[in-house]
Amino acid sequence: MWSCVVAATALAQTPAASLPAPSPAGQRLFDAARDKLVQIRILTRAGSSQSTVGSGFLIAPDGTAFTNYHVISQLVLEPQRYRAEYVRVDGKRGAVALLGFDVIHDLAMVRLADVSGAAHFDLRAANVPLQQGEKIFSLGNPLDLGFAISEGTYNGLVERRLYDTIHFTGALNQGMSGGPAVDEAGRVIGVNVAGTGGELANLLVPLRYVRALIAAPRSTVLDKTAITPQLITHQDTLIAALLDKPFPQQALGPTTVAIGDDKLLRCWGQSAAKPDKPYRSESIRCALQSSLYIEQNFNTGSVSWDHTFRFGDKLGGWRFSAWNARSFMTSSLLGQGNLKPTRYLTRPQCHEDFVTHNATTFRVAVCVRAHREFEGLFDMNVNASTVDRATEALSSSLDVRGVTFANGNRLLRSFLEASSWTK
Amino acid sequence: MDEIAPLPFAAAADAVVFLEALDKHDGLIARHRFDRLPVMLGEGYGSDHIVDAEPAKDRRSVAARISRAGDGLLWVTADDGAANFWAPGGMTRSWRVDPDQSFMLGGHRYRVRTRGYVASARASATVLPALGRWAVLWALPLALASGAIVTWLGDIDGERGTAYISGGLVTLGMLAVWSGVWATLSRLTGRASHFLAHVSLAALAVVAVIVLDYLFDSAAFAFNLPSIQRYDYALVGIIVGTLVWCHARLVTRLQARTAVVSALAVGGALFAFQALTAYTARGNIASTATLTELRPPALRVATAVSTDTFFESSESLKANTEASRPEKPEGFDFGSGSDE
Repeated sequence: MWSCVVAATALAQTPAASLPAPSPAGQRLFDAARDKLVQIRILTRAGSSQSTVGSGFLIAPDGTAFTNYHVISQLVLEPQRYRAEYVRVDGKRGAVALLGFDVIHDLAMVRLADVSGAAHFDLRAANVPLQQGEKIFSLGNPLDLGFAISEGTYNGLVERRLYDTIHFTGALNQGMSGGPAVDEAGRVIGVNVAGTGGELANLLVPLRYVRALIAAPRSTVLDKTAITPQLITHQDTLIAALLDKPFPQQALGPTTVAIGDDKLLRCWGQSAAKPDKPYRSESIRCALQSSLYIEQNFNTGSVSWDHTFRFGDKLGGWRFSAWNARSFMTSSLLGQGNLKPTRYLTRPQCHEDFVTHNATTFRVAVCVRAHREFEGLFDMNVNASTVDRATEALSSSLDVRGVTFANGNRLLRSFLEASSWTK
Repeated sequence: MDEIAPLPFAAAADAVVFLEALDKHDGLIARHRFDRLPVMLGEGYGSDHIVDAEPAKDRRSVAARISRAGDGLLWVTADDGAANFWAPGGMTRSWRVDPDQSFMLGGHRYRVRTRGYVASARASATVLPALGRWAVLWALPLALASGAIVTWLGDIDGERGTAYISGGLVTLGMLAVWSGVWATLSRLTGRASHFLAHVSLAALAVVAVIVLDYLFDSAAFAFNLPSIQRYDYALVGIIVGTLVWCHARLVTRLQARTAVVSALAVGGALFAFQALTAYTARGNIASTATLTELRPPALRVATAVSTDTFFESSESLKANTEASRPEKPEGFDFGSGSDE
């Protein structure tokens, strides 16, 4: 899921954040949009219990509508267990059929039964770009309380993203996922998708991805097997973005390490040096700011890494190596009991050895888990720690999810080769 | 009985034997000297030594004969059943004389010794021949020091003085409880509790576990053999098995073979339990048995490979993980999934 999903999951009802009172323009837009909005509900086939609720909006008179993939993911992954229905503002309801979905941009196109000739939203023309500060409005059904409109501002595209995402400064709440974001003329400019955890900093999917899904060839296969090609496309894009040029490097103590492209990843640094301690450490952690939502308990398509330089000449070689070992084997694929197969992943397999390059000797362990549902994809992790100096060491770890083995190996190797002693 | 070492002064021609009547703790009640062999033991007055069988006791094994066999060693042959339905014509059992081993006859406990027996040979000495009586004075501090070194290796802040104290107290407490149990068993089966001997044994086992585990991990690092770390349980199993064997020798004076079998059974059961637990917790141990300990560079013996070689070797992970795709997670409901 993109960092903090706005709606999708069953609504753990929390006190509703009050939406700002709409302006006259907002009131006018909401009146015009009422018949074009729907709530999308995912229900269990067995008991018709509500599992997930989100929002959607009509884009054509034949009942074609859009929502988020994460709203209808259960329909894709477990159609035997779940069905979908829509509820309109006037309370009318009907069945929802899947027309297509885009896991990468978290979009789904559906057909609403029995709504032919209905009013629908227009899409803003592609040649009319949004201006930063332009007033935009988000619509949906927050917290299953009823349809609502939220007024806000377009603030450009979010920085450090693999794919374009609109930075919407305005309120979004759970249940509004899949609802439309419109301009003052009521034309769709994007789709509500996620929050960021910030007060009013929220995310929208740009309209161009909606257009792309509309224009994409219709597939007759709309189950989980259709997810694999999309994930492979995503990881190709990700690896190309990371490896098409050499890793940016940065000094960390007497070492040089790989850091992320500032346009793609966010890196944080930390120093733990106290004068009364016989050691010090400095670390850098970099991560892609998003991952792909597959279902509530499974995200993929992410990458993160970290480096820690440790220095402890007052500890001596034995204690230093014991300290350094503590963090060496904290592989995300091996830690926390992740050693058994899950629904989505095989159990891990590891390979390790002492590795030398650029006059630096590492202890390196690579661990891999294959995706059980999405053939050809793997979660991969490398842990490396220098073992050629008695009281100082560089420990590095990289974790990448949902890549082909060849791409993963290439990334792990490039990452490892970008780190070495410099003095 | 077997595995009896030839007795000093037990010349083949020496027909003098001592029959010792014992209490239930193997304490000496009376000693009887016989100058000729065989010596007949039984209820009748025709016997060399009259056994007043207790009516409440099993009446088998009331009659016995002590004689020297063709091998020159002393044997006891007991009438072990007389004539009855199951053993028509009677049944006997024989064993070679062990000067430290008592046997029951008509509800009484006896022991046979010769003139060559060295009275100072004590059971505890057979268990701890090299340790001596006051082994506890150095074994216990050694165990505490080993634990303290482990604490020290992990105490990078140098602020955890209480960790040393609490670690030492925990070690002492565990040794006291463990040794107390064995000492109680010793007291129940014999006169002495051998508490200090039990403490010494347990303390040495603690030292062995700590030292050998550290050596194992160091060897795994030095020779690039991470897989040997999974034999930690075997190591612990062997040490605990040996410890139990030593305790058992103090408690029951078991025959060496019986004690070894018991120790192997205990060690094997422990090993199997730990291996099963580890397998359950970690899945296929071999596939994830990555190195968990690092050591100073001077200890590394294995040579390092190039990145080319390393990543070529890791190619096998692809096939290995894909081969495990059919494995299903425990407890997951695949009932409605299309992958069924």
